[in-house]
Amino acid sequence: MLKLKDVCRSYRLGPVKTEVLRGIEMDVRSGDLMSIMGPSGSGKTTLMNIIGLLDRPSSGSCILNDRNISGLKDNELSTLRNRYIGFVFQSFHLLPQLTALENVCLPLVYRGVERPKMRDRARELLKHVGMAERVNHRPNQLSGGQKQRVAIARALIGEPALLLADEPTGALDTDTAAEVMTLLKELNSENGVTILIITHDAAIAEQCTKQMRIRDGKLIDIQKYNADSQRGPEIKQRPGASS
Amino acid sequence: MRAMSVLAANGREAAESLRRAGLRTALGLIGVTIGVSSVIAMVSLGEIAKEQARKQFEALGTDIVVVRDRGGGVQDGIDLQTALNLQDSIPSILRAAPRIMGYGSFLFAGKDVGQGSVQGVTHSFAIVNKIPVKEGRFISNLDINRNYGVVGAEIAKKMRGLTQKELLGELIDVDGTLFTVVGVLEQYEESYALPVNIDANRSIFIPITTANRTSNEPHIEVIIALSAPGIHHETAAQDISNYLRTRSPKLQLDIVTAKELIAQMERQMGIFTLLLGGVGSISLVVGGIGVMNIMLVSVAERRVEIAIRRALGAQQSDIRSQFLIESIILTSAGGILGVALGLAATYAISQFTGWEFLISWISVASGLGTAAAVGLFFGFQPAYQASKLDPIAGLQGS
Repeated sequence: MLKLKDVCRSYRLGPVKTEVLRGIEMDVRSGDLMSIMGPSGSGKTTLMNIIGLLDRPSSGSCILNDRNISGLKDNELSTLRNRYIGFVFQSFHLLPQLTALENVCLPLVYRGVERPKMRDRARELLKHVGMAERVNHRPNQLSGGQKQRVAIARALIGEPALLLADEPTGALDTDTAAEVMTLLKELNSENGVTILIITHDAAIAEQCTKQMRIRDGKLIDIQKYNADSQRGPEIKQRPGASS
Repeated sequence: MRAMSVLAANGREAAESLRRAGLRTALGLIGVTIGVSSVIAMVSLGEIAKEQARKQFEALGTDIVVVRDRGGGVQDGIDLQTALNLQDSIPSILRAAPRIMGYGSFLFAGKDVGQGSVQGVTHSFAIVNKIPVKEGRFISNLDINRNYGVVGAEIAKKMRGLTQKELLGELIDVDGTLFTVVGVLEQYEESYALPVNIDANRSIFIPITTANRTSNEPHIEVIIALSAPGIHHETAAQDISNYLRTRSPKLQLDIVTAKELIAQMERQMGIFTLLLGGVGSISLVVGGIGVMNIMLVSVAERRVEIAIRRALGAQQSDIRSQFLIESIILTSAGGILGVALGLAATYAISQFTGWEFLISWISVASGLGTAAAVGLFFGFQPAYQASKLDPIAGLQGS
């Protein structure tokens, strides 16, 4: 469904060129629940922007449903984002002046769906994420976990090919985070939603069926990563230091 | 379909966004309101002044033709007999009122009762200039060479301070010559529309034949004529000029008609109104700049919101229309308030000056139109800026 081939992204700040992504290879398949883990500054966000069609790679190709998006114009990217990507952000990013219902409707507004139809659909989704009682609340009347549920409903309303969650539990306490993760896993297993979670939290990443790590601008499978890192300490271990 | 639905949603949300901006919206609103109201008030006042002037002209009659002897009567002035015959000789005029103008000091019962014009006129003069008589009568065409005088209201007032008797029949001394008072005038309101000074309140009117004999400047300075009904004012003017010139070919005449004066007045008032509107527009432009400033602040403040919308699939044009609609709603609301305030101000001023209040619909329509245009014009740059914001930066900014 989504393939990244040798994707590089570099930024130029004056004479200095910073290479953030150096040859990312990635294949997201329909129905995946995948995590990408990495420390801050590893290029996670840049990768997410490219997967989320907000940014274009400097080189390499990004293929969404057999279509290379590298050369597309801003308007075409907007349309594709609207159709294929559902975003869930760490800080929820709900619009404060809109009610939960109106927030959920937004993607369909930009798709040109009739108003009664989109409001019905938004109500259904809010009910599905357990927010039926708070349809007309504004974000400042909701708790963090509730906000993230509304945000997930908003991400789902356009029936996207990929739900892209950037640190979805980063701003939540442990219990609420667990609830949100349960919801995401249910959506994946019961409704077949393809989900890609970007996180620096190993506990979250481990709950995903596919796990990737980003290091030095490159993506590696978790097994390979683990194999590498387990070998590392062994070599470094000095004789007599172990218990 | 898509564009319409986005536009409708933007419209629904605009009012709420403006309300949330609270004080800022109010300030922008005040700026536009003052701008529009000043345009409305200025243009309306211009229109009212124009209407007022037009009424004065029309009260005087649009059929007036004023003939002036530019030569000053040194030689070959307008002949008295010719001037007296004018009215009956030219079919295109209804009346002709010639005047010989002098100046004098007036004594009554040995006391000074003022100084003023001594105007040698005929009966027609009172009719043409609508001079109202309070007691007695005006100068008659039969008063040839008689020392009769009709006194203006202010002189009459001073005379009454000196005697209990009726003024009619009393004698008044004009520079040593005695005149019998045959009439007293009502207070006369000078018309700015007439290009001739009447100053009836401080004048004595005497028969033109007497003036011709006694005045130290016995020439006909002006003839005020009324054109006959259905006659074009220029025809009447031409006829008068021809008639006078056949008798005195070297005459230098200035002829002005009321219609010309009205046209000239309307041109001047038009420029005046335009000028006032221009002055008012300056504050509207200032208001517009205020709106632009507010919108720019709003865009800067809502960078995250813009980025979220872009991430959810809003195109650049959707963002542009969102902010444009907000600024147009803001300025249009200011326009409506401005029209109300402007009309109220105009009403207050017209009450104060005693002018007749009227609503200039052109100014109302243009005030509202300009307000919306100001929103579009000054809202464009902020809206464009909003649409070009990088969503990535916006999403990370919070």
